[in-house]
Amino acid sequence: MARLRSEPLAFVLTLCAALLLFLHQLNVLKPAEDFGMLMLAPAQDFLSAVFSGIDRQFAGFRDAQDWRQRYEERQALIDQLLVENTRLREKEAENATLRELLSFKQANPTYNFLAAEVTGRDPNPLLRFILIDRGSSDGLARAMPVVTSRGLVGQVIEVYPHSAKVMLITDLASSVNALSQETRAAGVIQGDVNGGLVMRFIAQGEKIDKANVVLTSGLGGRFPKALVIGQVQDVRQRDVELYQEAEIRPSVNFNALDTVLVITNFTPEEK
Amino acid sequence: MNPYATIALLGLVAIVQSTALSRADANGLYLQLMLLVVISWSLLRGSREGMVWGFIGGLALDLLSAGPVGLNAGLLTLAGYSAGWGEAKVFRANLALPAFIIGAITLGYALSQSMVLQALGHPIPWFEWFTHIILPTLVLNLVASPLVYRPLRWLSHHTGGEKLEWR
Repeated sequence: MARLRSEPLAFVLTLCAALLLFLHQLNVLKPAEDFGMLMLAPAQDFLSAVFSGIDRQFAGFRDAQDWRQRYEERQALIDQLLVENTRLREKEAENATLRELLSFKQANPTYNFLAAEVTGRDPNPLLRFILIDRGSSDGLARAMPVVTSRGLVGQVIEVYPHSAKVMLITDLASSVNALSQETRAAGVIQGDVNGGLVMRFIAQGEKIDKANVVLTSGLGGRFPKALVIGQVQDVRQRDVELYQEAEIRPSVNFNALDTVLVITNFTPEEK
Repeated sequence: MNPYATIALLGLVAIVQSTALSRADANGLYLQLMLLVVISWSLLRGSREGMVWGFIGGLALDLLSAGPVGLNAGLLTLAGYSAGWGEAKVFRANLALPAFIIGAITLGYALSQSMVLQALGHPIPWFEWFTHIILPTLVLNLVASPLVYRPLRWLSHHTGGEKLEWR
């Protein structure tokens, strides 16, 4: 390689980077990015599996001191759940009858799910994205919602042949229309710097309380209705402000995402 | 050092940063391993190699990131250049200065990255971002830098004066 002085080389490399940035914005680099992902994805899959195994091993040691306390908490929880379960069975039987009556009136949306493994996270702490091991060859497309059994995770924003990038709802640029299950107070869920969630733009007249469950409202058509997002942890209400804000504890543990489900038959409305 | 080995090593660093280190994060905070690798190599081998490592490592990070391709490549190239300048001008003269160089470059890297992302439409709550993420990351990078520097010094020593050249 021809030897260059440092300054010209710095200039040339920075210029290359700026050119790449420009071409990326024009979406010209897509084939090259696809190829790059094709090369990196298998190694990332492999290492992700290795680190996941190591993580699980160490988790056992780390949690040892908490086992007793957790056991007692779990036992109390089991007792509580048994009572709750009995009550819910009764409700379920009641609901089954009501549903039969309502079924001809109400559409009961059913979704097709595609399971995907999380193979990586965005190396930039400003961007909360995950990389999954399914892509266009599996039928994935942009804007498909991503969930786990615990609730909403995010939305597919970029698709490669064998992988895809998912924007988490905790990203600062993410916004999801939501409402309180109990009071129907509506707002917009946005990510915060610490990786948590904030429900903004709740009208002053609306009632929202701690422990309310927050669901997607379906407004705007970007996400299906009634997906669980989390639970209200704190409400900030000041008379001098136009809106109230609520701190939301996400139902999904975003630091422990291993497998997610992509809803493949939901078509978001284009803006 | 052999360029193919360099590419493989930096690809591995990018993957480790996006898998193992991101698993260990707390509130979105994790070690900027690639930045430390580039700074360390630049301190050991000078601007020229530091810039090339920055460019290659940055590209690998860009591929794994949802951010625009070229962002990390550009900023890490500049990080490599700056650290190499520090090596040539001041590093040998004062032992406290590597910490200053790492701190200054970490700050510059994080702030430049944020400004570019904001220019591209990503919302940045500057105060919270600075106090909750950038400052703790700065401390983490400073604490971890000897752990990154030492293995690279060994690597630099064992690859001798071998220059990064295509054969």
